Parts: sequence; structure tokens; C-alpha cells
Amino acid sequence: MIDLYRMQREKLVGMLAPVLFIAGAILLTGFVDENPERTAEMTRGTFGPTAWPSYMLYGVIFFAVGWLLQDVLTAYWKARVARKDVAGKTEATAQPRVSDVLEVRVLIAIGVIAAYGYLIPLIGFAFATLLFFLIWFVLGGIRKPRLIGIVSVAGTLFMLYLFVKLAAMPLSRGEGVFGEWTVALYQFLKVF
Amino acid sequence: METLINLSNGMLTAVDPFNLGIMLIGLTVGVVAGALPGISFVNAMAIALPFTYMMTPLSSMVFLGGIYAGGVFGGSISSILINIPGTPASLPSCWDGFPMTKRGESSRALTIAISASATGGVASALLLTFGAPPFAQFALAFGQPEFFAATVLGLVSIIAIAKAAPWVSLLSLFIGIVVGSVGIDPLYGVPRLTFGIPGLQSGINFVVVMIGLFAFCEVLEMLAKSTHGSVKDGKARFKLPSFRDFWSVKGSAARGAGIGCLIGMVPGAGATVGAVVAYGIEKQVSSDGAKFGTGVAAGLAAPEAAKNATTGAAMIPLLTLGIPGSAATAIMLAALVLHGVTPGPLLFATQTDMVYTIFASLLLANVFMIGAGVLVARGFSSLLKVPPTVLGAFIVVMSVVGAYGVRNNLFDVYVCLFFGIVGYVMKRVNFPTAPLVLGVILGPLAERYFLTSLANYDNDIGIFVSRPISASILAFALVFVMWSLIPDAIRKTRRGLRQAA
Repeated sequence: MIDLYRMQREKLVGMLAPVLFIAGAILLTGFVDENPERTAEMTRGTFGPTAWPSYMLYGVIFFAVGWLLQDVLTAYWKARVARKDVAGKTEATAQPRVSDVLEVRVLIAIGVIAAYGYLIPLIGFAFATLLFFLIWFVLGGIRKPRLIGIVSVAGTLFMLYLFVKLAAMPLSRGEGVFGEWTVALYQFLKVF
Repeated sequence: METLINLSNGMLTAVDPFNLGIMLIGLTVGVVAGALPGISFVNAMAIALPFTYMMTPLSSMVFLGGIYAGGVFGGSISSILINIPGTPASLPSCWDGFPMTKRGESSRALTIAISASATGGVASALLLTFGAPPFAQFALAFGQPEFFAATVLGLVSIIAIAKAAPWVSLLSLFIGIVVGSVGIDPLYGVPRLTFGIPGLQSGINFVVVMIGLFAFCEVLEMLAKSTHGSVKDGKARFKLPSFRDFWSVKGSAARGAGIGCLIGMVPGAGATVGAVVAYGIEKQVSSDGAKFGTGVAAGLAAPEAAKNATTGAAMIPLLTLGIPGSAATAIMLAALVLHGVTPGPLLFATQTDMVYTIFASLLLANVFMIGAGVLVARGFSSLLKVPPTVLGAFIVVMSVVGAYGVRNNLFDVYVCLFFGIVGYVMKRVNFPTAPLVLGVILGPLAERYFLTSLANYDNDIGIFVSRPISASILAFALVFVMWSLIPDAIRKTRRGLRQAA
């Protein structure tokens, strides 16, 4: 029998990943179709629209189980080696810690990008991009205000020419007064 | 003879000022992106993908082909000058290229790298031109079951990239296929895995997933490393390539090109495998093999030729069967699909002009790469002075606009950001992202072939194994999976038993 208590705690945490995939996939199999009765009636025993995603979810479960078994066996052998090692000087497996994976700076960056995406329809692409550049450069550790200002303005102008003038993309101009300001800016820059 | 006539017609279209112009822009973008550590050419291709909306299918392929050819080479500039591979495939170039730079031979090393890469690239473009049409002729015998089998082979071939963790790679692949199946199904109009969210009804677009996984993820990684300020100062005085330098390594370049062409045709192998294998073989073959790693020209020329030789070769399965062998060719497949072009043998019959223009453009791209390589190598030290924070900001804006531009939908921006976070976490815990991307792209295609095969053959599931070509391809795919899974399991079991003993 596998002695789980002998395994390193980090390894157990590492094994959570395949377990989560298995649990997630099992859970998702119940959400493939919103109205299974109607689909069953429509397909009448043939391969219907839900067959493919369902089989693929079974595939996720199968390979996650394989991954888990492999990890469990590896950990079991390592635990046996550790038991035999009197001095207990076995090398610890380098498992990534949560703090290594999600640093505060990265979390802030994710928030800034999400806010940027949220602000585009509200204040328009031009002003949202300028604001994004300013915040991003400060977040990235640039401490020269003049450099931040010049690069932000130049970068925003470059993006406007690229996407609005050249690519003619229908980017949001913003709501209310921001919409008016954006139009005025476009006319001033002759990109509109 | 017919091939030559088609190629000359293709060449005429390729040298059209617009096509030539965008190919040169793509080439320069690729070399720059490849040369800058942290911004791979695959990211550049993913960011450039939305820009191809306003192009014709041909122009988009010429543009992306330019980035691809230039990017595969570009990584060697930073490998040789500052010992940081711009792309994984450029790693072997560090082993002998950087010691040459340390000896003050950076100019010679770059000359050898550029000329060997161009040789490999031209060789593979010729192989593509003359090898792809006969292969496509054979593939004309394919029906829906054969295409399904070929797509399955394309899907499973991805585990060749990550042989160290085949279970995890296959898991990633299946997750990608599940992601690709989200939304209303095309045959019955039934919403699947949408959780009642209106934005998910139209599905998760693969471009959005790719931008998130490649571009956003890279920016977050860049920020996590906290590298503001220049990476390193590359001090290169670069001269024009000399014929004598190239001639001294002609044998190594030829061998590297041959190996690259062979490996490139295998889906999933790619430039990295080609370069590493070519380096290993050259070490065995060369009379200076024992000195490899100390700055031997042959040790630089062989992997350089091999990695660029994989570019054209990798496009053979892409154009003839719709099987992308790498993340870069997967993006090219995405560009074709976006423009409503289905790669496969029929493409050679129905759009001959386009196919041969792509071949001709790839030939030209590899020749013009010499010029682009020289220019970028000369301005490399200036490029490295751009702080990664600034580069990251521009990538974010371009990615957000790219994701938004797919369907003019803000929901896609959030989906893109979600996949950026997922990609970042996956990268940090060494969970492969390439299979997931392939699953999102090829999954819907495989499903379509699967369902249409069943619809055409009275829902007979046995049709896939009763037709000889389809059965052979599926058997090959099965062998491929077993070949990856079983030795991995045996190796791990043996290691465990050895440790336990």
C-alpha cells in the first residue's frame, strides 16, 4: 500500500493539479449540454453535437489519471529511498511555490491590463492607451517622469496611426465627453 | 517542367511591389523579434495575425512566411553576440557562436550564421516546391475519414515536442480540444459548454487564445523577471558577409540543411530538434568534433543551416494535409483558416497560383534574409537598449487591439487575458502550452471531419479503420502515441526501481 504520509508535502501539493483536472473535467461533463433531452430527441441515437466535447473531456480525465498515477509511483519510490537513507539527505524536489508563480507585481499587471480593457469602451482607445502606458511604465520600474511622458505620448500616437489610420479598425472612441474629445483628437491628428 | 512554369509564375506574383514589400516587412519584423530575447518570433506572428485580416490570403501567408523565415534566423544574433538565445532553436548557436565572439570573431560568426541559415532556408524552399506537389497528388485520394485520420496524426504529433512529459502534453492537447469545442456546434446549432454566457455562444476564437498564451504570457513573464533597463550591451562591429567564410563551412552547412529538411517534414519536430540533432551529428562527423564548444565554425554552421531548413519542410505537411508541425506553422494554418482557405491536396489543384507564390516568396525570403540579418545585426546594440518594460507595454496594447479586432468584441479581450494568465501559470509550472494551442486550432477541424465522415457513411464508426489509408494513418498515430508513452513509463519505472534498490 502506498504510504502517503512518507511523501513530501510539496509533492502532494504538486499532485493536486491532476486531481483538479479530473474533478474539473467530471464537473464539466454535466455542463456540456444545457438541454440534453432536446438534443437526444434531435439526434436519435446518432453521434450528436455533445458527443465530441464529452469524449474529449473523458480524454482529459484519462490523461490526468495517467499523470497522477505516474506522480504517485514516483513519489512512492522516492519515499522508499528516503526511508532507506539513514542520514535523510535526499535531494528535495524543487516544486514551484504559489508565491513564485503569482508575484504581486504580476497580479498588479493583470489588474492593469484588465482595467485597460474595461476602460477602452468608456474613455476611448486613445485616452485608455495613454493612461495604460503611464501606469505600466511606473509599474515596470521606470522612474524618469520625462521619459515616461514622452514614450507614453509617442507610443499612443504611434498606436493611433497604426490602428486608426492605417488599419482603419473601429476602435471605441469612448462615451459622453470622452467621445467628443477623441473625435477632436483624431481630427487634430488627421487620423479621422 | 510544369512545376518550373508554376514556380516562375509564382515568382512573378511574389515580386509584385506589394507582396515583396510586406514580405520584407515581415522578414525584418521576424529577425528583430527573433533577435530580442523574450520576444520570440512566434509571439510576433501571433500579434501580427490580426493585421492579416485586411490582406488577401496570399499576402497574409507571404507576410507570416517572412516573419517565420526571419524569426528562425533572428534568434542566432543574440546567441552569437550576447550568449542569450533569442529562440530555443538558437541554443546550439550559443555553444560555438559565442566563443567566437569572445575571441573577437563576432563578424565572422554572424557571416557564417547568416549564410548557413540562408543555405538551409533556400534548400528547404526548393524541397517544398518540388516535394509538396507529388505529395499533394497522393493526398487527392483522401476522403473525409482520411482527413480525420490525418488531423488526428497532426494532433498527436505534438507530443514529439515534449517527449519528456507525454502524459501532460496529451492532457494539454485534450484541454485545448475541449476549449475549441466551446460554443454553438455547426451541425445542430446546440450550445455546448457555454454556461449560459452569451459571449461564449460564438465560441472561443483560436487567435484570441494564441495571443493570450503567447503574447500576454510573455509580457507577464517579462514583468516577473523585473528586467527594466537594457538586457546586455552587444558590441558588434559587423562587416558584410564574405564568400570565403561561407565556403569554409560548405560541407557542414549542406549536412545541416539535409538534416533540417528531413526533420522539418516530421510534424512536431521543428527547428529546435533539427538544430540540436544537426549539431550532434556534425560533432560526430567533423574532424574538429572534439573541439566543438570552443568556437568551431562547423559547429555553428550545421545547426544554423538545419534550423532554417526546417521552415520550408514544415510547410509540406501544413499545405498538403493541413497538419502544422510547430506553433509557427499552426499560426500560418490559423491565417489560412481565417481567410476561408482550407489547406490540403485540393489547394494545389484549385489555388495553384497562390501555392506557388508562397513557395517563391519563401525562396526570396531566405535570400533577402541575408540583407535583413546584416541590418539587424548592425543595429542590434541599439535594439537591446529598449527597456523590456517599454516593449511589454507595446505588446500589451497590440495584443488587446488584436484580440478586440477578431470580432470587435470586448469579451474576447477578457478571454485573451484569461488565457494570458493561464499561459503564465502553465509556463511557471512547466505545463506545455503548445499542445493546448494545437488542440484549439485542430480540434474543431477534427470534429468536423469526424461528424461529416459519419454523416457520409451511415454513422458507421468502423469507417475510420475499414479504409486502408485512414486505417494506416490512425495506426501510425497510435504507434506514435505508444512510442512516446510506453518508453516514458518504462524509463520512469526503471529509474524508480533503481532508486528503490
